[in-house]
Amino acid sequence: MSMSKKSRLLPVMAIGATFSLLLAGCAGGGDEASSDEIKIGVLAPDTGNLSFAMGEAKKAVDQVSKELGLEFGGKTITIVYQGTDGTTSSAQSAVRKLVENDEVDIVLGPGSGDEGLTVVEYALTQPDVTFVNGAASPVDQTLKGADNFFRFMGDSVMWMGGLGKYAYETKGYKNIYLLAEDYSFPYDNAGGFFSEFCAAGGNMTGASWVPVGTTDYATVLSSIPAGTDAVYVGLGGSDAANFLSQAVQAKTPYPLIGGSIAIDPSALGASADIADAAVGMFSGGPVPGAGYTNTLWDKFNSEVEGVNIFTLLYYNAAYALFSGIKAVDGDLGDGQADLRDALKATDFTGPGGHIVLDSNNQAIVDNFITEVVQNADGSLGTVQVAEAHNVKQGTISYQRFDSCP
Amino acid sequence: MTSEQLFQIFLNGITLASVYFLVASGLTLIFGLMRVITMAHGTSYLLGGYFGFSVASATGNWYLAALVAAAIVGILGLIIHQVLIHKFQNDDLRVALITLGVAFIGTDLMAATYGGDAYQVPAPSNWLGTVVLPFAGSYSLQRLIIILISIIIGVALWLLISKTRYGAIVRAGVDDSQMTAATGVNTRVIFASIFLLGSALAGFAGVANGTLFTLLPGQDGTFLLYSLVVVIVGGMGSIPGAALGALLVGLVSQFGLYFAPTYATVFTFALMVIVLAVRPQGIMGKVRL
Repeated sequence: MSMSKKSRLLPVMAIGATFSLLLAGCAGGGDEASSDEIKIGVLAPDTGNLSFAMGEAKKAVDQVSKELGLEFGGKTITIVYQGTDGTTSSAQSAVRKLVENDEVDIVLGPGSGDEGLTVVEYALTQPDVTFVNGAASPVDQTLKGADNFFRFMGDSVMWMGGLGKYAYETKGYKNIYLLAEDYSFPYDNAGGFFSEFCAAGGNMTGASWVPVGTTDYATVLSSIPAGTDAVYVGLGGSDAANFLSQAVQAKTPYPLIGGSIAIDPSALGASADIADAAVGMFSGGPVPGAGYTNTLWDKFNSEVEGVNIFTLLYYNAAYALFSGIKAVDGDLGDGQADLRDALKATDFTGPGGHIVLDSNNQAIVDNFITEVVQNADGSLGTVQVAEAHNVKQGTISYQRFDSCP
Repeated sequence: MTSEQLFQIFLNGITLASVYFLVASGLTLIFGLMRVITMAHGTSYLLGGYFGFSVASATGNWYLAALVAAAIVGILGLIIHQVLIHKFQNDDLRVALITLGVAFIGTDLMAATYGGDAYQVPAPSNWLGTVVLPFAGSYSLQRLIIILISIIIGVALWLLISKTRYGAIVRAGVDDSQMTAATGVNTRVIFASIFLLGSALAGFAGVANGTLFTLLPGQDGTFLLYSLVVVIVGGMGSIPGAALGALLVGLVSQFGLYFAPTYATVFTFALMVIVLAVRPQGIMGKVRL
């Protein structure tokens, strides 16, 4: 074996590794759009810590298709699914592929925070395509002036409404430590919580912003300063499940407060030993807990298996979109102007409550505070603690912070 | 930082290093001996974890799960070597592309079977809980057990490679496979056995890691990447090198997570860049002429 052959191996390894990372999320393309079809590109993570989201998006779109049909005014809806890994670069190439290669008329997605900001920037350059947000929740998405972008869900600050006061006044926590993933969703989500908690008189004892996909949280757990009453866990999906299982292993003494996706079934449903840490955790968000009275919520849960935050948000988005297409009888002419007017006029009550849009195409929604309990069969679920109606978006967005924002 | 925190973080680094070592030791053996990089190594890791989860959930027996996962993944690795790789063994680019193809197929099949949910291999009930250690305070028992298992496997591998006749043949093959073949050694059998062993180690690592953390799609790529970093830092083809590389990567990432969590990943790759700049053959790697 000569040195030259050996040295050739490194670039091969590097190229291979890059390919493996780049191509992991790619799926097949579609055909050219024809005049009697409406092509919708659905964007959702299928790799990484939110990899289950694509499955939820599919369930949601299938359910809406079942309820409203796939034919409007003689036009048939065709769906192209495109996976991402939850990062900006992946969302950027995926949305470009949908719009520029598959030539979709409408994009439904994306599913994660940083992706959402990228897709809005892209929407500003594609005025002929309508974008309906899937589950991404950074505040700024609807404050960038994109007329062709619609969001039928609350943002991540809205989801935390009431939670800071609840932690301080009802639970009596005075000092809270922050642990969160380092991207736009937890910035706003935790920002919403701590701004309210600190305004009520609470104190933040420190912060660990960890990379998405961190598997080992034991080091973070051991670095929580003395005098901390509780820990805010701004993690989602498998990161949250990992954290909770390690909190159980390490017998963490702190009560936990969850970010909006930390106590969701998407994290609690993991096949892992997390109950001891998860029970008693509370959070705010768009998913109601047991005790919520809404027949549509009961119906949704009976017809769709394993509902979590992504199923609900993609369902609401798809329902609003299909209803809009129905209202214009499938006519996307005039630069989709009629469809956008129909979307702006959205006013419906769904499984998660009442939804209308404000002047920024941002939904005014219902919001819930829920707490984790263990069901009789040993599975984990949430119960309703409080609910708020007609929650409107504010204008403050947050960046990474290490003390009270 | 208190001294207790220091020791805790040190132990966390060693835990992570144990898992990286298990994955990377297989890769370094295959790489050192055959000069081929198998891009499917991460897939073997994740597949082992999933098999381990299924068997442990069904039988409640972790040891059986680890054994079955290692055996099945090892045999799959052997089949892939015999059917797909053997013919093109001297063409490294082609082997990389073939194994990349295998990795894609494996990734999609696993996603189709296990979906996007997170899974954790249930640990034996007597592994749960914590033990109180001098300096470090209480520490998770199952982490200590995984560290111990890794050390045992590491020492056994080292003994196998450096103290046995089989190991001597492997080492001869690492140094000059053509000359080794010329002395009458059936290198095809040796190569096949190393592929079997390397893949089985990756499968076992999936079970060990899946017990401490969760298994999910995308981890195959992550673990392939980290084991490449470990192998590059430690030196290709060297078991002690893989141990040292894993230790450095584990400790750097955990101390990074404490001092500057946002940049924890950066430190790990900076370590690789520094080693490549100062000692391109890796810390324990030999310069080959």
